[in-house]
Amino acid sequence: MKTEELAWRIRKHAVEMAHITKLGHTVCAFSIADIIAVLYNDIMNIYPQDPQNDRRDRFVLSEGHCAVALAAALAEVGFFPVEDLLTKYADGGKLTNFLYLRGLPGVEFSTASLGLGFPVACGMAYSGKKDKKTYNVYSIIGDGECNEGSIWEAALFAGHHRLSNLTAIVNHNKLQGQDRNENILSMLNIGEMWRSFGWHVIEVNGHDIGQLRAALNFRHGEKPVCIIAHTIKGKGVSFMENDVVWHYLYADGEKYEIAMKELEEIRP
Amino acid sequence: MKESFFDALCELAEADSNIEFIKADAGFNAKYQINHAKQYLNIGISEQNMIGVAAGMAFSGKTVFAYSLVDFSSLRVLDQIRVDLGYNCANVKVVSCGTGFDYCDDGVSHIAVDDISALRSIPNMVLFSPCDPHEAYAITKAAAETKLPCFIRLGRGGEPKLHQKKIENYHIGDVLTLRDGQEIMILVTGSIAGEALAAAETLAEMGKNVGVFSFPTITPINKAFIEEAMKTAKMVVTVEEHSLAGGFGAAVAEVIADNNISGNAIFKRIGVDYQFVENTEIHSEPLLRELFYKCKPATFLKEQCGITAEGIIRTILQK
Repeated sequence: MKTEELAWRIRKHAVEMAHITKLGHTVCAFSIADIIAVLYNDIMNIYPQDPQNDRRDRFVLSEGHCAVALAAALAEVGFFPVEDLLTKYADGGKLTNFLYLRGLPGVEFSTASLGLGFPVACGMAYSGKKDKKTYNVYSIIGDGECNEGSIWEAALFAGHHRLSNLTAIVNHNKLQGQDRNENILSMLNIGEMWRSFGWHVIEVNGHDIGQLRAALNFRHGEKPVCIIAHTIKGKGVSFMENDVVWHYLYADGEKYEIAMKELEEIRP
Repeated sequence: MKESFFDALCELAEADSNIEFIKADAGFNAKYQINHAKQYLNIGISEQNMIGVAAGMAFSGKTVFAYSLVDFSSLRVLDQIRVDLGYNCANVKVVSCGTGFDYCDDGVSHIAVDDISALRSIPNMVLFSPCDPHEAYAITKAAAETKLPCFIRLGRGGEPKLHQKKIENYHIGDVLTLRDGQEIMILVTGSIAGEALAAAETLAEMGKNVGVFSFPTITPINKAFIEEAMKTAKMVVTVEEHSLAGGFGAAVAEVIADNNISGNAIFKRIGVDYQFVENTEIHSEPLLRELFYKCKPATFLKEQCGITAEGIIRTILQK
């Protein structure tokens, strides 16, 4: 499957799953759809038939609210049947409380209490480096999540220990729960912040598959890599894009029909 | 207790290279740090990160002991313990040093009388609270044997040995007898057991038949023992250097209430009343008032809370 196709499917599943579960947080899944697609299609060593294989690369979705994007990707790359997304997991309870994914094949760790997942990813990277394992660790962090102090404790730790097997991706869509970042807590140059913590920073268009691929493939050798992915919240459906109101909403009724139609029009 | 914890940890680290010890820039043990430098990390004054990193290491095959003072490894990181350790069921043993009034010289921020209440509500966690160095050694070994996340409360060091000899084959949940006796049964957790034993000796001199039983495991609690005690004794008393709100006595009371235990025993709880316990007293001289605070020792605070031997005797003899 082409990566663009995977990203598109993630968006489509996200709308469908939110429609069934009647839960919000579709739009942040749209922000990270392309990042997740590149990770699972082009970058990470994964073993869908053997999810706990010791050589696998690890992924921790620190911004656990985007869990639908991860669930969709895991199904599409073969960790479990795609049909299960809309039946077993949406309907049977595992995705209805969709912030917690433990028990879903391929999920490394349950997150969604903001600021918690990233330190866990750092622990996996520290352990891997210490034991001279070859796996890499990837973690997506929300820009709003960077309000949390624990993110910076972990950033300091990873910088200090030169965890060169670790890549953090900041989903920088400039919107958080209730407003734009800059109206709540300014992070005017978030890249500089990470750089000053000892990270190698790369800024990319978070919807450009080519740029993402290049950045995610990069290893510094001495430092952990932080990718500031400039994204658009709700990317893919016109009325959801860049609108803070949609953070907690899902598309229902006519909106659902329009969203699915718009997605059909942009199918790669 | 701290010393015997490290004795046990050194043995564990020697036998298994996947044992890891990390600390948030608190506590020091030369023997461990020198002999097991490869299984040691001072992560810095960042307890939240410590618990997260420990969980990540546990998910990479390690058994991680994560160490700090009680307040900063319990309430400060409660969400991390709840989600990272409890819900994800990470093989991490949080080691909390300085229970109750151990560090009261540092003020209310360092008084640890609320960790049991907080930790008891988190599923999957095993909660250990040893009373002396022998128990500390035994429960450290037991903690390493289970894959479950654990919380270990330790006295700051120098506690006397209350058990006569080393405890062999400790199993999670076991209640240990410190003094045999059937009529008045004192159930106790943590180093305050020394006061309970002293109280029992005085009461024995007065002709009472008093037993003292230590609960090195608070969660999961030994229900059968409590049920039997309520049936055989005339009085069951819990003693803890901890808040009565949600603490060890509350855990025992829940067992009694929830199981409709209809024994003959009177049930009493002794612990810290629901208040902030301050260890300072404003100086009586107005001019000096803003300059000096008299620091009160732990024994004074224990007296105030009624958890010394005298206080325990008073409560037991009270009609």
